[in-house]
Amino acid sequence: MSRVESDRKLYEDLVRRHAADLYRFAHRLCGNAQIAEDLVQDSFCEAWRLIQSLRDPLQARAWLFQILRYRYAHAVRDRSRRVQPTGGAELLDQIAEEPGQDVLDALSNRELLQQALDALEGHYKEPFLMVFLDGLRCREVAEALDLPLGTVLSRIHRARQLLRQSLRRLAESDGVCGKVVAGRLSPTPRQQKRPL
Amino acid sequence: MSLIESNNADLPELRRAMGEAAALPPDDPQRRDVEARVSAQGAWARQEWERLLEENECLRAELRRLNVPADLEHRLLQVASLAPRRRWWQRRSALMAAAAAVLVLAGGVNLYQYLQHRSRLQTIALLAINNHLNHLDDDYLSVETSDRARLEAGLSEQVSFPVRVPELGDAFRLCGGRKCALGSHAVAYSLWLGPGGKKYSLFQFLPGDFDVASEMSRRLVHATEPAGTEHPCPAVIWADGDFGYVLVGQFDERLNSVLP
Repeated sequence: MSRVESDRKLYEDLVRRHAADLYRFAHRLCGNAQIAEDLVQDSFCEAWRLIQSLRDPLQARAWLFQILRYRYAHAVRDRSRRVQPTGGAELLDQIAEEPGQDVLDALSNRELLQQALDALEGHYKEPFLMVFLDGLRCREVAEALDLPLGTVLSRIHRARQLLRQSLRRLAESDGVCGKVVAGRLSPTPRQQKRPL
Repeated sequence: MSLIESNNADLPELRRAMGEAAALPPDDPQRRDVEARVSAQGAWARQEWERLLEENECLRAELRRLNVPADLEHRLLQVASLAPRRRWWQRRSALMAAAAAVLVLAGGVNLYQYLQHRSRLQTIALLAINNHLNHLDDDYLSVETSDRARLEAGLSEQVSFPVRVPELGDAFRLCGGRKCALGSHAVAYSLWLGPGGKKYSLFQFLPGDFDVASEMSRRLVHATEPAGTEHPCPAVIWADGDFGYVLVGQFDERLNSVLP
């Protein structure tokens, strides 16, 4: 098999294994389906272009996600669309510390969850999604982002706090707090079993 | 709120520790320590901890609930055909053979190798430029020092090769460095400041990792995006026999000063 053919085979394998996960990550990161598709396509273009630099297929997933994060950062910078913090610093001072039933319920509302994610600053959102969506361990996230483990843990914790705060606020303004499951939302089977 | 809870002055710290530890895997020592503290605090803390774990489950499930476009995979598979990784002269084997024959006839083998090499240098430049641009707002350095010897000693423990920090000239002030990656290869990164606080990133790599010559004079490389647009930062690449280096920063007289 020639080098070009083996590169092509590796590339196709990467697409089949990781494209869906990359798309979910991109969508949660940017909050827009079309931009997420563009990001994933750009990322795979770059992956194809740089595929010879991928020597260890075991690193492929991390490598692809790294390319995607780079593409996202470029997109944010180029289009000056960096998401502005929604009073993050002030929010942190008044955050309700505990996870609550209302937050668990609001999580099952796709729109609220995405709106709350959109309000997070990138440096909180990326490590948070890498752990809870991509399934990476915090140490792997620290390595991928070139950050100390303590910083990653702290950012994930703050992301979670800000997300709770946003979800509570959004759910209240949406008038669904406390009656989420009974309303227009589609609860997960686990939540259906749980009394409100 | 229980009596125990209300008397606990360390409550915010415990909750922060719980929030951080909940993101760690169950076998992590830090998480186990926190679980022990939670158990010692009593029922309210255990309940809150369980809720955190429930929230984790919920987050993992809900974040994945997205419809992936049905034709995404098909479109991405076409990328390899529609956006050839190589240049026009490498696109088709017939063209390659013809081009190779012409090159051989013209004594152009060296030219062909030069083009291959140039393509690899562009790959290195692109990876380094991406890394530089994405850490412009992030000053994390595992070794903070302006002393080259200290940085070399500190970073050599983190990467799998001896780190040698080159002399860049008086226009650059060393701030420190850390281990990082170009593609899937570990490299040694150092941050340098120019007048006005302009940031320059220097990456030391193993030439063999990228199939480039181990001896190269300093040269300016511009990388282009897949769309064809040029990156805002160029890179200066060179190799000194054992190690390769790529220096990235906004092109100015300082970056120009490292060129021969």
